Order: sequence, then C-alpha cells, then structure tokens
Amino acid sequence: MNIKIKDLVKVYGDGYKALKGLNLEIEPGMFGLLGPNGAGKTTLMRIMTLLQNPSSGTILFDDYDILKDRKAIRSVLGYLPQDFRFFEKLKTWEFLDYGASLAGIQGTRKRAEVVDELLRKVGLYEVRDRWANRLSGGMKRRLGIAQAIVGDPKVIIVDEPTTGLDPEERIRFRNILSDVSDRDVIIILSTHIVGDISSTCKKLALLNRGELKFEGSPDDMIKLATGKVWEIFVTDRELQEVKEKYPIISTIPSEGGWDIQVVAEELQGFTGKPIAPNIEHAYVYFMDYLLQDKMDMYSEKIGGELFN
Amino acid sequence: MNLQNIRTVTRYEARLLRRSWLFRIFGVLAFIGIFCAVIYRCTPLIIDGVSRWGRVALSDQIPFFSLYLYNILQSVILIFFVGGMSAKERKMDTMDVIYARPVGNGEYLLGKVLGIAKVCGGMLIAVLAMTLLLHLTVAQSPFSIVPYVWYSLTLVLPSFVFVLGMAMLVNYSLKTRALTLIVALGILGILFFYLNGTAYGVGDLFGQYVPAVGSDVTGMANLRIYLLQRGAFLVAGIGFILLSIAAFKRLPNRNGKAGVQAAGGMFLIATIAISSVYILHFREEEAQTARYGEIYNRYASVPQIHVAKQDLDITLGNKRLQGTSQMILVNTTKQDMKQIVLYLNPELRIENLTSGAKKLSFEREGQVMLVKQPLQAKDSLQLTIQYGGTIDETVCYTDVPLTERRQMPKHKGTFSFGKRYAWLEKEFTQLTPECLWYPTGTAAAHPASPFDIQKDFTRYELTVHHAKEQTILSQGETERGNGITHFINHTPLSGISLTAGDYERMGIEVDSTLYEVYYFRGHNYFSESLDTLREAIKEIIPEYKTNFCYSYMREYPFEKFILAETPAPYYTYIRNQKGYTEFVMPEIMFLPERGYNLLRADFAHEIRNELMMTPPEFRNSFLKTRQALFRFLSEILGGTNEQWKTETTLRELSSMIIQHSSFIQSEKYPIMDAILQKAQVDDKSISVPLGDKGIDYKQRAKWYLQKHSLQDAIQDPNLDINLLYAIIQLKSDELLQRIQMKTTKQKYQSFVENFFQEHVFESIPFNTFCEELHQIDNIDIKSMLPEWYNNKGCASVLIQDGQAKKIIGQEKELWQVSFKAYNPSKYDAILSTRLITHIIIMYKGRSSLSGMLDADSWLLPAGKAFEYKFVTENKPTNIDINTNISHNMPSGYSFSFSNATFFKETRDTASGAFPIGIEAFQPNPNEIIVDNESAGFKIKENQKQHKLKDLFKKEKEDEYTNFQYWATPVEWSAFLADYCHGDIIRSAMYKQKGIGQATATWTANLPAEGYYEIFIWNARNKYIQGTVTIDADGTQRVAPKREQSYIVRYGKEEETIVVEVDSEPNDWVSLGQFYLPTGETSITLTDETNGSYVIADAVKFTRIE
Repeated sequence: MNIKIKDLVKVYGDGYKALKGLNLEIEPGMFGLLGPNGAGKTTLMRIMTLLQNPSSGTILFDDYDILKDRKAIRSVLGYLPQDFRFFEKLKTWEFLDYGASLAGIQGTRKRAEVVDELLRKVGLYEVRDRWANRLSGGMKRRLGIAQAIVGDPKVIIVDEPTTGLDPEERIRFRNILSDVSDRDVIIILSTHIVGDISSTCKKLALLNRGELKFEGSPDDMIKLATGKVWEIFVTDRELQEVKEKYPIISTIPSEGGWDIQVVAEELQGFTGKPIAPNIEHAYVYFMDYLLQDKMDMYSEKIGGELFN
Repeated sequence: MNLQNIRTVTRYEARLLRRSWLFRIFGVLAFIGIFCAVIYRCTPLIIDGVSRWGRVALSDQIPFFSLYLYNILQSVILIFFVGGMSAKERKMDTMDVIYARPVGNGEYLLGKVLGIAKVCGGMLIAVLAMTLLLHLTVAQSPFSIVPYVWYSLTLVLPSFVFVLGMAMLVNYSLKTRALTLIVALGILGILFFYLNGTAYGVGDLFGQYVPAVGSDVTGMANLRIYLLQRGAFLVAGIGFILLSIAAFKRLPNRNGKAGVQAAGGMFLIATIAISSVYILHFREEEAQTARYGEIYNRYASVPQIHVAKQDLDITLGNKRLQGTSQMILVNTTKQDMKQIVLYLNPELRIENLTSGAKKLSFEREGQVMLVKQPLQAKDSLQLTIQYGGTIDETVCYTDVPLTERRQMPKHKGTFSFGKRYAWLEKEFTQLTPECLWYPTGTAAAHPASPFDIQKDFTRYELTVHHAKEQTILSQGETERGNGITHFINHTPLSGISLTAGDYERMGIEVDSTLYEVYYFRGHNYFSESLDTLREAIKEIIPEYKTNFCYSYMREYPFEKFILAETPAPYYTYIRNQKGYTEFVMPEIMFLPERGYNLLRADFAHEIRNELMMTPPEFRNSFLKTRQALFRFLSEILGGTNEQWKTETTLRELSSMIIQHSSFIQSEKYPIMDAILQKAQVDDKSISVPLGDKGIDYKQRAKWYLQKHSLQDAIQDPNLDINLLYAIIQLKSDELLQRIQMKTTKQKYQSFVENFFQEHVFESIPFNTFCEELHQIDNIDIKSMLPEWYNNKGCASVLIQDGQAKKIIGQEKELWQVSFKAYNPSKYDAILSTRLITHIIIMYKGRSSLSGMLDADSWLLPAGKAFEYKFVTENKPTNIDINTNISHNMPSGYSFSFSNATFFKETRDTASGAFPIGIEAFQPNPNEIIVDNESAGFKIKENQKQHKLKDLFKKEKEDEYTNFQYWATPVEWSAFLADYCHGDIIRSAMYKQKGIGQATATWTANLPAEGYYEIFIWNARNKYIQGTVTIDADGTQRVAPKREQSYIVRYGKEEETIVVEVDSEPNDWVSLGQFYLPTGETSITLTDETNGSYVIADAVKFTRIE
C-alpha cells in the first residue's frame, strides 16, 4: 500500500487556507508528520480519514481515490483522533467490540477472541469490564490504538497520540506502534512531539502553514543541523542576552550559571562547543533558520511539549 | 446495505439508550404514569363509586387508552433522545473512530433508528404486558388480544416513525440541542393541540380525532380511511428519516446524497398524495351529501304519493342486497300526477319496473326515481320494482349542517368510534328508512326547510333471505325459517328497519305484548346481575309501561317491543323537526353495543354501589336490583317530558309512541306536527324569571320574536339551530296557552289523548285536527294561527299593584290576590300566572311548608287593561307572572307576600280577569323618572389605555348581559334583572369600581322650580350579601357595606350624597329634598366606591307641594 497526496488544497469557509497544494508520497512503515500548531496536520489527517472533503486535489491509497472510493478506503483504515477523551457509556471491551464489528470481524465468538487478544496486547485486559470513561488518560489512548488497529488495517493514522502521556505510557505506545509497523502497514504519526518521531519513524514530513517544508528521514533532517548546535556556559546576566539572540534548546543549572544548548548559524559573543544535533535541534534549526519562522521558545506549552 | 453494520449500530445504540439516565427516568415515569392512569380510569381498584363502564365496555377500549397514552409519552421521550444526538456526537470525538469505519450514513442512521426502536419496543412490550395483566385480572372488560397487536402496529408504529424521523431531520438540520427540542416539541404540540381535528383529522398524530376505536362486532367504522391516515404518518416518517440521512454531515461512502434526498422527497410526496386521497374522500362525501340535499329540495314541492301497501322481498349478500318491492300507490291529492316521485338509495339500481304486465319507464336522479306514469287524483296504481346494489350512506342526514356532520363524536374524551349510518355487510346489516333501502314516496329530509317534511303510513310485509346463522329483526309479526324470515305488519307504519346479525335472544310476553332483548352473541354481561328479577320481570315491565304511557297520554300501539344491540359506531343526529332519532324505530329501540355510553348500563356496579350505600339492616338485593333496572330503563326510555331533545335523549321512547304513530300534515304550517304532537298540558305556561336563568336562548328567542315572525324563523336557513328550537318552544307554549284559555286543561288533555288514539298510524290532515278540536268548546284554532305564525312583533305589558287581601265575612278563611296589567301595544299579549300558597304538611310527625302551584293563562288584548283576581283558601306567599313573548325584559314578575304581617281586608270574592281603565298606569304628573333606558341617561367611560389584550377583545354578542358580581366588567355594561327599575325593560348599568373617572348621569328637564325630593332606584339583589372573610386566627371580618356617591348638580350648585346601598331596600331611596330651578338638573354617579362595583339604574324627581 502506498499513499500519494496530489496537489491537496483545503480552504475553510472563512477563507483560511489550511493546506496549500500538498504533494507527498508515503510508503509502508512509520511515517512521521511534524509541524507546529496550525501547520495543517490535523486537516490532512481528517481528509485522509475521510472525515472532511478537500477543496481540490486528492489522495490515492494505491488506486483508491478518496473522492470516489470512500468505502474501500475506510475498510483499510484505522484511526486514532487527537482528542480521545469522551466516551459513551460503554465498557472497555464493548468499545473495542463495536469497532471490531464495524471493521468487518463477524461472529460473536471470533470477535471476542480478537478483542481479548488486542486488549492483552495493549495491556487493558484486566480492565476490560471497566467503563471506558473511567480509564486513565494513558489507558484511553491504549484503547484508542487498539481500536485503530483492530481488523488489521493497512493504514493507521494516529493524530497526536502521546500528548499528555507520562514517559512510561509514551514508551509503551511507541512500542505498540512499532510492533504493528513490522507488517506491511503504513502508520502515519502526526505529532508536534519530535521525540516520538525520532524513535519510531523511518521517514517524516514537516508541514508549516499548509505547505510541505521538508520530506526525508530523521537523519537527513539532523544532518542539516550539523555544526549548528552549541553548548555554552552563561551567567545569569548572560542568559538573558542569549535568550534574545538564539533559540535555547535546553537549560541546565550549573555552578555559577547555566549550561545551555542553543541553535545558531554562528555563535557571536559567546564561546561554546559544537555538539552533535538530535532531531529536536534539527527541528528548531529548520524552523528558525531555514524557514525563518521564529518559534516562540519561551512559550511554556510549545517548549514543554517539544522537548519532553 | 451491510446488515452486519446495521445490526452492530442497532445493538450498541440500544445498549447506550438503555443505560442513559434520560431513558431510565422517562421510561419509569411513563410506565408508572400509564399504570396509574389505567388503574384509575379502567379499574375499580382505587375508586369504586363511579362506573367505568363507558371506558371498558368494549374490548378495544383499554388497549387503545393505554397505547394512546404510551404513544404520547413515547413521542416526547423520542424527541429528547434524538435532540441531543448531534451535539453529543460532536462532543464525543471518539465518534470519529466510528465515522472513519466503512459504515454508510444510511446504515449508521438506520442502525440508530432500529436501536431506538428496539428500546421503545421493549418499553411498549412492558406497557402491553402491564395493561394485559390489569385487563385480564381487574378491569372487568371483555378481552381480545387483537386490539393490542392492532394498535401497536397502526397507532404506535406510525407515530413512532413519524416523530423519530421528524426529530432526526430537525436535529441534523439545526445541530443544536436546545433548538431541536424547541422546534420538535413545538411541532408535536401543534399537532396535538391544534391540528388534530382540522382537515378531517389528517394531522391527528395520536388518534384523538380519527375513529380509532372499533366495535367488537363490525370492527372499525372505516378501516380504509383509518389505515390511510396512519399510513400517511408512516410514509412521512420514512421520508424524514431518508432526508435526515442526507442532512447527516458525515461524508457518505458514495456520492449518492442526491439519491437519498430524492428518495426522501418521493416519500414526502407520497405522504401528500395519501393525505390528499384521505381529505378528498371526505370532501367527496360532503359534496355527494350536498348534492343529494339539493335533489331533496328540488322535489320537496312535488305532491307526495301515498304508499298504501308494500311487500318487500330482500336477499342479503356481502355488501349487496337484492330486492323486489310490490307497492300499491294512491294519489290522495286533489291534483292529477303526471309522473310519480319515489325515493331509493342512489346505489341501489333499478333492474326492472312494471305495473302488472306493463313495463314502465323511469329516470333516476340521485336518490329520486321518476316513474313515467301519470296517476289521476284519488286513483291507485300497482307497481313492482326489482332493484339491487349496495348502500350509499352519504344520502343520509342531508339536512344536518356541515359543521355538525364534521364533528367527530368523542366518548369519554378519548375514544372515537366514528360514524356509521348503515351497514350492509356479511357479518352485520342495519338499514333504517333514512338510508332509503326500499322505495318510498316520502323524502327522508328537506334541507332547505327542515320542518317542512312529510310522513306516510304504509302496510309493510317483508321477507328476508339470509345466512342461516343470522337473526333478522324488523317490525311486525315474525315467522322464522331456515335462512328465511317473514314479517307481517297488521298496522301501517311510518317506515321499517332491517337488522341482521349474530344475535341471542331473551323474550317474554306480558299482556299480549311481546318484549324481546336481542344482544350480540357473547355480549350477555347483564343477565347474571339481574338474575334476582327473573320472576318479577312480569310485574316490572307492565308497571313501567303503565307509568310511561300515562305520562304521555298515549297507549303503546305496537304488538312487540324490542331492545336490540347495535354496533358502537352506529350514529344518528338529533333532528327536532323529525321528533325521533334513528335509534328509535317503530317497535325497536337500538341500544349501543354493550351499553357503552349509557350511564346505568353497568348493572353489577349499580347494584353494588346501591348496596354499599345502604345500611346493612336495609340491604335488599332484590330491591336494589329492581332500582338499578328502573334507572336503566329511565335512562334509555326517557320520560323527561322535555319537548326538544338534547344529547342525553337520543333514545327517548316517547318518539315511538308519538312520532311513529301519527303525523299532522299541514302545507301552510309545516311545523304543526312538531308543535302539536309534543305539546303537553303541563306547567309549560310559566317560565322562570330572568334572575335565575339569565341571558339564554329563550331570552334571545324573545328578542328575535320582537321583530320577526315564526315563519321568518322557520324559513331562515342561517338561523342558529338552538335559537330556532327556543323560538319554536316559545311559540308552542303560546299556542297551547291560547287553546288553554278557551277550554280547561283536562278537556284538552282528554281530547289530545282520544284524537291520537283514533288516528293512530295516520298522516292526519291538520284540518281534521282543527275540526275535531272545534267540537271542544268551539275552539277555533285556525283563526289563531295567522297571527300566531306571521306576526312580526309582540306586546309590551305594564304590570303593577300586586297585592294580597284577606277576605272577611265568609265562613271559611279566604284570601284574594290581585294585580293589574295594561297592554299599550298593538299586539295581544298572553300572561301566565302561578299562585303559590302556603300549606302545612305533616310527615313522620313533623310539619313542613310546601307550595301549591296553580298555573293559568290570560289574554291581554292590545290597548286594554285588566285587573286579575285570584281567590284561595290557603295563605298566599307570592304570585308569579310571566309576559311570555313580549318586549318585557325580563318577562317574569313576582309579587311576594310571604313576609307580610298585615293584610288589608276585603269583602270582594271575585276571581278572574276584569277590565279596568288605564288611568292607573298613567305616570304621576308630579314625578319625573329618568331610567337608564331613557334619553336623559348618559355614561362616560374611563380614559382608555389600549392594551394588547384589547386587540383580542371579542365584540359583545348581546346587548344585555347577566349580572356577575364576581366578574364585573371594566366598562359600563347593561344587565337585566327583576330587581331593576323599568316599566317594560328592567335593566341597569354596572361596572367594576374605578377612580371616579367613569360616570353615569341622569338629566331631567324640570318644568317648574320648587322643592323636589330626589330618589335613586336601589337595584339590589337580595341574595347578594356583604362578603365575609375569615382571618387565619378565625376572626370574621365583614366587608363594609357598599356605598355609592351621587353628585346632584342644579344651577351653579353641586352636592354629593353618599348612599350605603347595601343597607337600603330594593326600592326608591331618597337623596334628600332640594330646591331646584326650572330646566336641567342632573344626578351623576361616579365609579368610585368602597365596594367592588357600582350600579346605575334610575332616578326620580318628586315635586313636593
């Protein structure tokens, strides 16, 4: 299964252009979709999952066109939406059974077996009879991924799956996804948490303001930032000056000051040593310097989530 | 469509619904509510004192009632279920995982519909089971499982689909819970409260208007129409569901939204088509009835042929009858007939028409058959008609107004059985003369002039070929064979009926009259309760019959009397011009199925109730059962002596012995039969004074007759029918009074009794009645009639000086009561008087007072004055006088002597009417009276501040109203009362209290200056006392006596006098003496008072010498 996105445009009723002629090809395996809030990731997800129509352009799932072959596409899709908190009054196993039945798994007994196996896989078997609303955040997401992979879909789209999860849940989540990605399955992981992508995705695309800005492997992106990441020691007074000049990736208190990591083309006025970049560094470098779309490094929300 | 998807969504939708608190609360409340309602309305478990028979007599009633309630509650619940659907789904982002599945919009919504249906189905089963259990165990109602299934499918299901579809469409279109609830509940409310009866019930969602309840014998009144009406809702609901699929915002699997919309639209178009067929059915029926009415009108003036004898041979089939009629026709008129007019149901086709061996030609026009055969005056003709076909019920009741025909009778507020006027079906047949099932020379109606009708009496013989298991009922001596029944009538009848059904019989012969009861097989619910009367029935029947006949001064003229059960939808109209309803045929009275709408038909309950209320030592089962039977007979057989029928007297037996036994024929006065047949020599000569009855149809009838004649009333097709009845009642009384004045009551009663006995079963020319009446004291009724019938006006009478005197110089104690009356108009007046005296009756060792009433009628000729004197041995308490049809308002007067302690004495023992001069009635030259009816009286209202409610204020219908101290009008309003001042019109104006801006002013033009005493007339109702309120601590507070303020203005002077009117008598009350100038002096009453209203009547200026 391959996915081809062709000249995809989405303009909302108020004239806002969420996608501006996106072209992209996705092959089997984990594919990361990166970008800041408002980049168009969720819009792309919703078009891919046929919850919305594009304004123009199309997406082909092999030969299936989203404009014509919706039923066929839906039958190979699994989807975990961004906001997955509120449930009707169903038990954990019932929710999964509902999805399994709609995914085409016939026969009550067979379906029960599939449901139980999936619940074990995601570590929810012990709470199968609990009301879905009473699960913890992480458990709900696990339930979400379980229903996304029930029925062995060929394409699994997960939108911001680890937002708000603790590290243990996040690692568990990545492992589940990795297990699934070993088969001939496309998993599109849309996130603004770059750590999720670096640990799981073979390829990624970066969207910004409705346009594709980067397509390649995480390593390719990291290479762009080679020689652009610096580790410096600054005093309290110098810290303020650095904040105004360069995006700061990390800030670790040290004796007499701070050990900070910054991203810059050149370091001026400070002495620091270059370090090997990781995907976060590469992302910031890409956004700040290559796209010149200044990121607000001091936004708690973005900073906290980006560098978790 | 993927069934697995639909099943999945259904399963989970049902599961979620059952777990929702909304469903649980609503479901439980609905179940409990219906349970309580059924228990209360249909079983004696809570209150046994009231008979529930009307709600449980038939097997359809309990299931209908229960499901009717369930239907309403379910509809409300559905709207709340659906109302939050899209909002919830928007909130539940998790629903996106469902939407991303390969399930179509149609599958998804259909699944939701079926899920809701599954849950509602469960609720329905619970309600059905509960109702069934109550029905079988405590309800004492006949049981059948069929209505439970039937109403579930035809009543509940279409409503469910409609409401669900409508709610879904509104929900997916508006997408807001609050708006969805408002709009959907609003639509439901409009359907329930406003549209249920419009357009023949096409918008009746819950079965309030359409005849939804059926007979245990014949089923529903009109099954096809019922199914059309319910089907329209079902189809509309499906259409709404399809359109809601199109309105559902999720991307469909295929680009086929237009197809779904088109399908939805097609269903809605189909709904319109079905509804149109439904409405057109009624429109066509009405048009057909109107057409038949016009045909009746067109032939109304054609001389009627007399059918002396008719032999009918009828073969009954399924929705068909075949008949042969052999008739002897006689032209009893004085003119030759060029052709003969006969009437026959339009759907009965003439197959052959012969007279002897000669074939005759004819034309048909609707129900009319024109036989092309001349017949000379007094000549006769033998005719044989072969005919066959079905019965068109639209030919019935062409003279009933459309508004009345459109009304759907509702029994006990909930059940509607519909209207059937005839049956011709395999299971049951009922045909009465109204449907023209045999050829007749008499039109059934004359819509243009309902009272101008004819009647004929014919010797009938009837042979009926029928299914062996059927019992045939008709008039006459009966010979029953195997599939053939023969009836021979030994006396002429006004018409015959034919009934065929699966009946069982009970019968007994008493005093050579055969009494039979025919009830449908399985409908004998009564004989067990009445078992104790089995031996006594032979005495009970003649006792009742004797009392009954005595009250109507007629013998029972037939050889048998049948009570026959008829299906619940059988319907007829009260037409006073005919004097009977189709429930009462010669010899046969039809009773509703299981007595469902008879108050006393629940014998078991009646007897149980009576026994419960009787102390144990006096309980006698036999007596109580006998009482129950008597009450039942009284209810069904009438005996109220009321001339004009109301809804409660549909089955009055008097019409069997009056209207069905003779007819007074008058071309000039077509109303004469109605008036003379029902004229009773009884206390009809006095009416209750207005203070008691108020503005009613009788008063309005008097107003009408002040300017119109009886002829005008009869010939006015737009006159309110109740007003017409009241007018006829008054004129009937008047004629009777005129006759009474010429002879004695006893003589007239005796004459009436003998006359109708001698002319039984005859259509009697009015001249015959007049000639025979003339033999009684030379009563010339004919000379009375032109004035009585054609006068467009009536008298005015002045009445005064009512007094009672003790007669002295006699051996025994005697009293004389007298009053004076003067008729200044150009029309004769008729006065009715009733003297009430005081006697002491001893009863069980105690004395009590009782009035003895003597009523008389007096003619007061135009321009004359009389003094009327009455002598009595008993002390008089009062004399009531009524001026009947006159300009006097109210028409009743009363002089009371009960509080008098002193009586004048007299030696005059004269009794009767004595002419006097009119001087006593001349106004006192020293007095000037200005009444509220005078030109010198003016009112002024408050400055009006128009309010929104003024836009909706209805125009006053009557010039005068009733005095209502509990709801006094804002503006000055005129009312009539016998305590008001006036010569002819005793009226006053009143209004609620104000701030003194509204006034009433009397202005008199005084001829000379001098001392005058000014009086006001205190219009005070002696029955209205001051209000007493009781505080929380028990203290009684009496409201202050009402005061009114009068301003006397004369010259430049002005003086205010306050009168405590509640303390003063109902008489002239002095304001004081004043020196007044020549010219205008005015008295003004303001609306300022310490009470709640003010009354303005009359003022009097009396010159003081």
